[in-house]
Amino acid sequence: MRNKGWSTCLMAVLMVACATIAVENSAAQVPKKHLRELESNFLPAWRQGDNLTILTSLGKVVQRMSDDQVVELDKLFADDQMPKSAQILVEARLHLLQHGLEKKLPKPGLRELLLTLDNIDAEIQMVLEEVKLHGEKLEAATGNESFEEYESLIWDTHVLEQKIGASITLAEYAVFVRKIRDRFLRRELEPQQREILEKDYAVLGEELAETLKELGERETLVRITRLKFANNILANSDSLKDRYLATWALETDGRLVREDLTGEESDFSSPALNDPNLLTQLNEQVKAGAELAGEELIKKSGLLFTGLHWWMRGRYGMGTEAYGFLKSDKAVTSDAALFPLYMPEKTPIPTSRYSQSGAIPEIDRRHNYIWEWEYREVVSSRTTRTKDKVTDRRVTSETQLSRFY
Amino acid sequence: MVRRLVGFYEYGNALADLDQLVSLANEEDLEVIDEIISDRGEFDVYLTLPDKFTPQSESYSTSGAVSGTRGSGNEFRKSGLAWITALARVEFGAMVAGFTAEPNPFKDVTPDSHDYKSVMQLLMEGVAGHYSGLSKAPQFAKKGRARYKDATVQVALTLSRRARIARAMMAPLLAPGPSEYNPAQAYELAGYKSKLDEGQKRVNEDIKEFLATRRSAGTTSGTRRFVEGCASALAGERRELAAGTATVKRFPAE
Repeated sequence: MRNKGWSTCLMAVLMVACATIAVENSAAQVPKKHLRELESNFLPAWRQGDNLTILTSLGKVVQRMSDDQVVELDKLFADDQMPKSAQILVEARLHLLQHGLEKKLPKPGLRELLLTLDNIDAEIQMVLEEVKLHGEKLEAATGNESFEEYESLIWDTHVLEQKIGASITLAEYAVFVRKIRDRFLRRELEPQQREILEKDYAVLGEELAETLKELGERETLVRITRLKFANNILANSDSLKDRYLATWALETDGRLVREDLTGEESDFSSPALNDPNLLTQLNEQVKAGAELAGEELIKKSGLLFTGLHWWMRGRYGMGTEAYGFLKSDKAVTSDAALFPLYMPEKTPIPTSRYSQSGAIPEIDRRHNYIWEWEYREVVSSRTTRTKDKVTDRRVTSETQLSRFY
Repeated sequence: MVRRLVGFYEYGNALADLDQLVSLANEEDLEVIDEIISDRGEFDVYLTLPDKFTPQSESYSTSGAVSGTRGSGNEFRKSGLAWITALARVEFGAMVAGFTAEPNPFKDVTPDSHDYKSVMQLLMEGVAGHYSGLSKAPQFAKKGRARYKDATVQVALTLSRRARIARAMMAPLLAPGPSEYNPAQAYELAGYKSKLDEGQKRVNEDIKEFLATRRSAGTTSGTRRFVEGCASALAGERRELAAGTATVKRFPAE
């Protein structure tokens, strides 16, 4: 959730900046008319999570400013712990893209397109670097990790798969705007700008797709190793705690690895996964492990860890609307739409709600907030009756909340 | 609409699994399960109790494997299966109370349930928070009303929902059972209930007044939505009357 306090501070900063402009009249300062635009349209949209208006308003301003002025604007944002303008634009555009709204997006101007593509490239390279480090971490694994360490390795793989998936969407967008890029390439450009526009994102997209496949195989291999470890625990340990953990790992990994090996993909890049005897060996291991665990423990460990998984989703999950409090309106009628949630990349450890660095989770109790969404929706509906240009624009996103009513 | 709330589906499923687990588990299982949960910090639950309801001893408030640790003020860090299920039960019940027609959202909170003490403390924390918030709302505490009728009913609808949640949370606290409240605490709770009932009645009157006005004045698309909201809000009152738990006497029971 975005911090409400910052906007007041930023408005003050922007007002001071306006006054400063009159005195200094420096070319590097953000022009007053742009600050007004940001204050009137961008800030309320940022506060309300209205990505379309964020993109329209900030994109227009950034397009009309010089490089130095953008740097100045980013400093103003930084003073209020806001991301850089480029990052805000990319995130807003990406968010809308992920919701299939590419046709509604305003066409980017040259400056915004350069910023967006440059950041898309940087973002993708960063993720690819993470994938590389993750591979090194896996190579260093001994095969005798604890359940917690195995869980961490699997979770990291899962997170990277999500990130590569998002990177593929970014690359697809860069390909999608090829015609606009071609139009700008006919202009006179700086060599650096030309380089950004000429980059072949289709090739990068193919590389990302290969990486995604490789990550899937990494996860399968970790699960096969953990399955052997779990079997060993069930055969040799009397600790009920260890047996609970081992039984759950055996059941989960056995099911998922079998799905991977018998799925559509049969040509693996890993030689270990192409072993023709692998599936038979795996089935034998799962059968032997299940006999060691016993039906009762299989049932109880399944209930425990599935229940905890649901609890984690309730505690830390975020929906797609209303700052994460709500799921899409499809959830009302579709069971499939009930499931998708945004989950934190790193497992949160709760802190005191009085923590100086901010409480984790930020929403300590959902019941303290859910009742007020009605009020927020109601406030916006009042603005529909005004003819004010600023508030009219706000309504676009808030009107969607009326379905929640 | 409750299905759109993040937590409704998730906590509901968590309770289905974990309650079944408790029914199958023996003492040794429960001990190990608490240990597994306590090993993982993400399952910690922080509890904040008002001064008057803060237990004197730590043992009072501990039903998990790890003893409660005093945080700042009256805050405690808790962990263990009972706190996991208690939090899920309270959040789930609050969503049911605020967004469905279920007359008894906390019906599965019974003294024999494994997490009863934890649930009661989380309910107390919730009631105290909502009571404090509602007491500061002028329209709820009879300190003022909005200038425009539409604004009045808009706020009334919101406050009504919050009060419904708070009053539903209060029901198990006041239900007959192994009460651990001393006379001063019981008196305090009765005060909460009385003021929440009065406030709910007050905002319901605002809602009825709005409905009466709008029926004669016609509706715009904006007010039509509020009229629908009013009907939904007053349905809660009708349910209470039907269940014999309402303090508002003028509205006919269905």
